[in-house]
Amino acid sequence: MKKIVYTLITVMILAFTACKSDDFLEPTPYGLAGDETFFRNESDALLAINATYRGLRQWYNNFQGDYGWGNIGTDDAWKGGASPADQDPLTALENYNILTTVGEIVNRWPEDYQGIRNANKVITNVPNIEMDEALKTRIIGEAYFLRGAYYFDLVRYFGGVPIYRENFQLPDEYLTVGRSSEQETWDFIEENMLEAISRLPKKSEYAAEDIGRATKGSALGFLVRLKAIQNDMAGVKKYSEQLFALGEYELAPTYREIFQPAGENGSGSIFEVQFKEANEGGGAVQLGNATGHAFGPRSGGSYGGWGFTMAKQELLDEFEDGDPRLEHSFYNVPGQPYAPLDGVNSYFGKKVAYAPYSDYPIPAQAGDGGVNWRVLRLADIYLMYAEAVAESDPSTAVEYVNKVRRRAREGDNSILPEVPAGTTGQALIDAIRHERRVELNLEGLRKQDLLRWGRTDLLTPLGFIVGKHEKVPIPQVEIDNYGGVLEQNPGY
Amino acid sequence: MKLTKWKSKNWHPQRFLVGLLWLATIAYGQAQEIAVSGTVIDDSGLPLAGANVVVKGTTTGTQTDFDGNYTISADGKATLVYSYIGYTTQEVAVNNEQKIDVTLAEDASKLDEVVVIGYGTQKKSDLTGAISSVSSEEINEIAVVTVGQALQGRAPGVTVTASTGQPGANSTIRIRGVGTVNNSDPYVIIDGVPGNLNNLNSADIKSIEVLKDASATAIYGSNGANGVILVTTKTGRPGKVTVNFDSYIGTQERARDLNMLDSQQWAGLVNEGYTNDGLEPKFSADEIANMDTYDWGNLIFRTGFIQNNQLSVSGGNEFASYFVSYGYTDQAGILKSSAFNRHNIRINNEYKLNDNITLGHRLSYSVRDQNTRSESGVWLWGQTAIQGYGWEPNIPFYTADGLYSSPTSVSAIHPDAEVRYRTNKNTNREFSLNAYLNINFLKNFSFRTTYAPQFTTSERYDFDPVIDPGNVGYGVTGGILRTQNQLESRADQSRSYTWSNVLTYNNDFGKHGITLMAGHEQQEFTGINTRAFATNLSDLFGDNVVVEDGNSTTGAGNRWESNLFSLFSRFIYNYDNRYLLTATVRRDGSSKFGPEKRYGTFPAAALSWNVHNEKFMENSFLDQFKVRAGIGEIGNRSIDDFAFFSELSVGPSAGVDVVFGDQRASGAASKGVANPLLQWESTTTTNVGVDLGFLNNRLTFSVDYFDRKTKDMILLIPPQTQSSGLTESTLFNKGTMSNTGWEFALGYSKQYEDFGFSLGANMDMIDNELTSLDTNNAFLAVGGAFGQNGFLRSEPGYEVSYFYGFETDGVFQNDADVAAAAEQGAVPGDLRFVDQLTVDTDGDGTPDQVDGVINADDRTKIGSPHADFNYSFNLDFNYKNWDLGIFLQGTQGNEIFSSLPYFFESELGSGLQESALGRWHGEGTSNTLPRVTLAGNARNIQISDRYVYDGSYLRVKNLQLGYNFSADLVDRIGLDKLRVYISGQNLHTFTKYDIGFDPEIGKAPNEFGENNSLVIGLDRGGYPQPRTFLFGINLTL
Repeated sequence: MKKIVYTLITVMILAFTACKSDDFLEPTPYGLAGDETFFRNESDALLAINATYRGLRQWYNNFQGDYGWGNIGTDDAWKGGASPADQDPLTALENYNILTTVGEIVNRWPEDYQGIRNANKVITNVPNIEMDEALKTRIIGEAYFLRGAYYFDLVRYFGGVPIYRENFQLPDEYLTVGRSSEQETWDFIEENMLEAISRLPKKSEYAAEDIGRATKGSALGFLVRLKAIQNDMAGVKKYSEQLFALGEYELAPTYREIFQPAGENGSGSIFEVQFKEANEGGGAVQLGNATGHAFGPRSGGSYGGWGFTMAKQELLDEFEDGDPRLEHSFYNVPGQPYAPLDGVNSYFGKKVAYAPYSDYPIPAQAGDGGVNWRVLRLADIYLMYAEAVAESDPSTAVEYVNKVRRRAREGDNSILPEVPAGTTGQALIDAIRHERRVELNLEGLRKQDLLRWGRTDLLTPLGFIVGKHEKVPIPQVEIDNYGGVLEQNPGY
Repeated sequence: MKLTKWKSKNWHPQRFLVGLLWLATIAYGQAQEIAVSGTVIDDSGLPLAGANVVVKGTTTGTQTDFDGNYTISADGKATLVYSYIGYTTQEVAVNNEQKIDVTLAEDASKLDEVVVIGYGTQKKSDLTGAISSVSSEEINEIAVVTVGQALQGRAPGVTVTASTGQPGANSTIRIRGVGTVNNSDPYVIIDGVPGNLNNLNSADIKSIEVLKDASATAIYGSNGANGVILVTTKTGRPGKVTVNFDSYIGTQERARDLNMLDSQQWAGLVNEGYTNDGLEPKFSADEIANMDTYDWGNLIFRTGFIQNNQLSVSGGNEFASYFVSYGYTDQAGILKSSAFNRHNIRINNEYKLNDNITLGHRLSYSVRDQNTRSESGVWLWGQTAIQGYGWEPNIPFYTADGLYSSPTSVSAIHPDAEVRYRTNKNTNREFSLNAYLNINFLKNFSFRTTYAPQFTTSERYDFDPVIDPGNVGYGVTGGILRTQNQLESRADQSRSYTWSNVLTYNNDFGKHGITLMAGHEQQEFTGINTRAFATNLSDLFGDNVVVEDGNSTTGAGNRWESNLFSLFSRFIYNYDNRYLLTATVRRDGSSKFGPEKRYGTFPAAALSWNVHNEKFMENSFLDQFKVRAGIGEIGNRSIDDFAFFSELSVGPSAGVDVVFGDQRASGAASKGVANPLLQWESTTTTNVGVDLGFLNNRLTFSVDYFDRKTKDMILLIPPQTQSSGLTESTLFNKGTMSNTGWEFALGYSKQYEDFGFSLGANMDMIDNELTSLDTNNAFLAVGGAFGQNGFLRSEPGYEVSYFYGFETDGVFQNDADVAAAAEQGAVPGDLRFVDQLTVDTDGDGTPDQVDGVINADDRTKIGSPHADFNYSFNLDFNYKNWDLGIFLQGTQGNEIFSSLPYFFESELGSGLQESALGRWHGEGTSNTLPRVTLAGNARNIQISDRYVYDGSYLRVKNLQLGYNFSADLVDRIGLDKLRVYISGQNLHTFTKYDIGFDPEIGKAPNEFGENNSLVIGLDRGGYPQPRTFLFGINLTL
């Protein structure tokens, strides 16, 4: 009997300890917890919107930026690199042998959607924060802009895509939404940009420490580009004129300075993705990009680049005699291991180059270069505007082309003669397209331009198949994950 | 913080202990007994020191002294039980005798061996669950530096694969298959406390028990789902001082070289590729004729070195025993500058305060240093061991100026520069104390309290030098340029404690024996890490620079905490040694889960029937015939702390910052969504086993069948819905997995006068199936190699991580072939992909027709990393003073996905293997390897069965020849025992897998991120396991 009593006592002691376990099991989570406790104040709102810009960096950080994607596979640029096998996703883009598993495509899709997710969070949560109202409005405007910008990136490469106006609670709910049409996606982008325009400040209204954020002008500029892709010339005209009416922009005095450190966010700059050499090591801590290495020569003094995206002779030939922009755009480093040219004329672009080919220093680490990516600049808008009014108002169109040519001339009136007043019809169109190819060389616009002009005849010799290669395939891994909900682009 | 409050206000362990001591004092001195004394000897008449003498049905007992003498107080009518490990236990009635001498006979069956079962021990013959024991001899037979490796092939159902041959690296241990898509590592308990096998000195181990089925592991509740490995370390025995010295020294070499093409052959293929692409040949005939061949693969391999020295001193008397040991292991790996060394100190002492109270501690300290070489990334170039083979063979090691050369077509670091200037060091120090107090009281009760704190620090040091062509001899072009060196330094400190209290009641009522155990345990794990980063350090190649030498420095760090609170109980019932029942239950509360789902209860029960003890079996030829059956439910909670929160990415290195106004602008974004309802996954195992013994138990055979079902799998859902924008998946309890299998163990031993031998064989067959996922995702996809992703697929109805891609059917020989096959954009010389049935014409849901086009839908299952069976043989012979041991281990029926053909058979920018010569180069030349091409390669390099190889192998793990010096000789020089031996390990591997170093492929090393335990069977050319030759000595004083 005694034994049983003692046993009971002991068991009771044990049971007592058990009662107290709830406190013991309530640990302190260290660091910042997630969404549950986030979006409390102004500072959280700023942190969230800043992170939403991060995806833009990914676009232009490396090969998958427009400098690779927009140029390779056109009459403007060779793939380059060490061999055909080096960065073979770019080889696939170059010779239109694009498989649905090709690498870079696999990256672009999720990065855009990460940006969209972050933008959705801001749009959903920031309105509920008690904070400075002006700042709140701006931040929400930035989020609309960025959501539109990410969808714009998706639509021009992949076509219509799944649209999420807000984030789902559970990850697998995303699998229930299929693709919207291309038109629906365009409309959604326009809607977002208009929301942004109603909220965003003008470029001049930002403080110095906020240079690089989305502005009213940036959103209008994206709308101009969107309408151009839609071949909605009335839209291009409308939004261009709204942009001009802001009175915020003028062409930078010289062509060269646009692409130098001093020209960053200059007078003609409508939107730029900001990069800076952080010099704090490798990996995610970096604030720079790798474009200077990716698109610089493999051999050539201390440069040590990777040799991608070399200009084709056809592009160089497009320049008129004496055009100073040729000198400001290209440099030749012969002896590249894989330049299917003549091995002598290996031309790289100065717009993303480091010293000695630009004023940008070679960063301490590859991937940490400070070259901003000039997404939208005034000359681009001028030339799209010229296209838009070429038929209805040819003299204005001529004037806008000549604005660009005058700047390029650098005061030397013996070169780059004016497009004659009174030029109309195909001659005017040709003059605009010529100017566009030269002025915006290697800025990643050529493929989209050829597509919207219907000039696939210039692409088919390279392997382009009409009806297929207007779009890249949606990553196979994503098609697989959707288990049939997501339709692949035609031809893949 | 809350914990502190709770400790100080609500709970007083001191009072609790004082109370129990008081209880024990009452128990003491109650008996009225006579003193019995005597001597215990063995068959050969030698005294047995340290034999146990226990009054039957009580916990009262003593041990014999050095001369085999004992004295014990017992009731005149009591029965005394004499036992000694490896001997048959004897019972003798006292009958008021005051002197009882006993001779114990050696027991071939080892059935009386006491086996550790978690919070207690049990005689092997009484076991009801599936438990394998591995002895100290088996663990120490092979010269490996970590204990995990030593378990390979030692127990059926326990699969150990080396993830890498890196000195000091972990092995992948799987008990009864891959139990979950989540963490499948077994739970490791060292002397009753969670521990780390890597910090353990194998010479200190007395035994390892592997608990395999739920009825055995349920006592570990939420930690038991993947099996439990119980390690018991050695203690001293009463008797004279024993000094053991064991030492070996040996060399290591690469077991297998790769057959690479010489420059002429290589250049010929490159030219062929350029010609195939319509380009001018890359090399002229003159250039080819003048090429030298450089053996890049060999540049950084060396003859490795391994040594191991162990010294232990043990002994004791009736009041105290001690075991003190020091071990030093040192290994210089076969890759230059890879190395490992470890110092271990252990002090295991026990003090008898009186007959009923024992106090003891196990104290250990270890320091582990490891220098590793890179094994990262999906390309060849992050794999130091193999990347040299990828260099074009015509490139000299050094330029004419004595600088490092660069490859022309790929981006790679010079192998010599890599091993010479890049440093990846890791130092780990662990101190652990395990203090316990054991009180026997009221005859049948014992109480044990254990407090075990543990402190671990680890320091990482990763230094990357300047890489700058033309500067300081570290010339690399193409892809890798770093004009500033950099250092990352990281320090982790973790602390934990385990406090457990276990009360055991043990009594016999005639034929009924009962053991009742109840316990409480709480564990707390906390830690902190700090990381610092610097660039531009003044010492360009500094081995010993510190962060403050740098120009630009940043820091980061984090903390963690998790707690576990448990109550558990076990009931063991033994009827007449014929019927045995074990029932356990454990209730766990874990801080890893949200308040709603914090607690879980894990029950189990098992029965066994010793048929051989039945009357009707008295005259049977069977010495043992035991049937076991058990069922139980156990949990798995091995997930990150705070996983039920969603975490924010924030801070400079989190990849969320941007630039505005040319300044860093901080960002923050959540990585995933939270799931506050996250709870344990649970596994139900049913186990049925039979143990047989014949010929006086010299021949034994065991067979087990198990059925292991996991539900509520903690599943990461899913990074693959990329359009969700989630960068990190969320954990949900979804999906089920099944593992069923058979395990066999066979043993035979026979000793003649001068000659004896023993033979052991183990085999297991495990069928793994992911039975459901219960999500909108049809499957999980992981794995990456040469830029291709997601080809390791886990899909309901299949085994986890099967290989997914195109099935090939030879090479297109001519245009007619191409025209006749499904449309696939091929030219002659390309691989022919098989058009799978993808069209369902009759609408029955099963595709029954091909669609005539090869596209992504035609991918299918092309292989499996899971073996049909694993097996091992152990043969030991002795003749007079000589002994010979052979240990063979193998797997059958598994496949390897090798990324190496991509490089060595198709990538013309890297070195090529001899097998590449077998490529197609005209009709009829090859029906396996496609043509060489650069521009047209994208099609042929897609994931297909060309990368899938038979991974079966049989390996001569160990061959050892030993000589025992004769007793008189040894005696004359004042020793007890002296043995010398030579041994060879990994001497030969029978396998068809010849494109890589080694067919033994575990979980991918350094595989981080989602579902990393699913990345199996994938060979990307990691650090191979060495071949070892040793000379060793065992000496006892």
